[in-house]
Amino acid sequence: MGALTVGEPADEDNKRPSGIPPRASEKRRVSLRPPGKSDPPPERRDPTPTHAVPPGLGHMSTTARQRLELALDVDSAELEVDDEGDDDEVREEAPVDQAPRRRERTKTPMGLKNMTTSARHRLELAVEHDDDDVFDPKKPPTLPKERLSDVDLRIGTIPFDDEGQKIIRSLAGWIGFCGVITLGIGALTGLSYVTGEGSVAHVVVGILATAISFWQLMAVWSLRKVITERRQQHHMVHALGHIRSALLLKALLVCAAMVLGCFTFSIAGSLLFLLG
Amino acid sequence: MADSGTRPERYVRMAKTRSLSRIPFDPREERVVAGLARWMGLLGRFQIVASVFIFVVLLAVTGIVTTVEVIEPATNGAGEEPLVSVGEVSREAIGAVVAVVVLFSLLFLRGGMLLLSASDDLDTVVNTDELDQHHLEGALRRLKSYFVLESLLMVAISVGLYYATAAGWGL
Repeated sequence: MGALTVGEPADEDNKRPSGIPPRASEKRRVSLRPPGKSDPPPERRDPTPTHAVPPGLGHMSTTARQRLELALDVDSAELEVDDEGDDDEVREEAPVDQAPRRRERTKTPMGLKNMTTSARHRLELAVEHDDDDVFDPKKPPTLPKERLSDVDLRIGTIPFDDEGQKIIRSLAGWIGFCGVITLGIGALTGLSYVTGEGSVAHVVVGILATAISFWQLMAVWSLRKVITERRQQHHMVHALGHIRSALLLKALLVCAAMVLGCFTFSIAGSLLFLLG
Repeated sequence: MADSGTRPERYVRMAKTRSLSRIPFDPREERVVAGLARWMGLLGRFQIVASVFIFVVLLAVTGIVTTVEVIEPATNGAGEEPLVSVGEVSREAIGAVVAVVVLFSLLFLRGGMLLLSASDDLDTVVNTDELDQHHLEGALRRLKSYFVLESLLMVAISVGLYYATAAGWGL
């Protein structure tokens, strides 16, 4: 399992629980002294990491990797405290038996309980991929299908009852109806420019109405998936995102209409005042 | 802990607790929901302000026309043109237009209030860890009511556009 197991045979480079050899960090130290004129220009740092990246962790962000290292440090410290209290003879007699026990403890490290669900998910992916000891940067690690179904059931399901499903179905229907009417109005308004009766403003209104109706129909599509498929949370967030886009555009339109209305009425009031 | 209630009641309570559970949104999903709540609240406030604006404009126009109609006979000379000429539009037609505008602004106001309530529910979903599903269902219910009103408005606008086009008003 590479860098994530604590109880492996002691190696000089693998003493740290994170698996990053201490020599690598020594090499990275940069002198704070400013370079003199006779000194050659400093070489650019090689972008490839100097230490061996544990397989499966290459796609993790720096923050996630640091959190993982911290969690493993906490866990290894806990294990060392437990080991100090044991009998030395027992430790010498059965060093091989302790390795499985340590691995068993490592499966539920204490430093990981405060991680978010997505971070823990990524950590599970990385650990699982480390078992294979094969890392291809072009192919990010994936969960096997049997575990993927468990994760989906655990993470993505919102247990809507009958009333909730009825609300979602009704909401999808009304949003779809509204979207179809908006699409019709937008198309007719935009096409009035083609027939010669409309102006550029009609085209703009037609395009905006078509965009709003497009997002509304996409939201209907996602809401239908909330009812019919298992990953309700994923589809619900998608639907809410589409509704957000439609409402954003509508808010801008209402704001523009209010500004135009204020401008028109102020002009009309000024003309009436001047003529009166 | 004492187990109160019969077995079916416990099952009902468990089902309710499960249905009112927390939804584990990740940070990206929380941003989407928070963005929806923010824009929903903004659109609701815009709609409320716009409906009040329509009311104020309607009142202003009504007041001006009434004032002109009252003042005009007293100041109008024998051969002068009237300041405001309604033309061939009857008072019933003007009353119908005013009624439609008032109804439109009331629907607009109600839609804005529904959007504000739904926005508050979604804010509660994002900012708290309890009863997420309950608040989400409340937000969806209010959103559905909003889209019912929106559909009515869209149908009315479609009918109005059709008659305006048929009457040849140049729209």
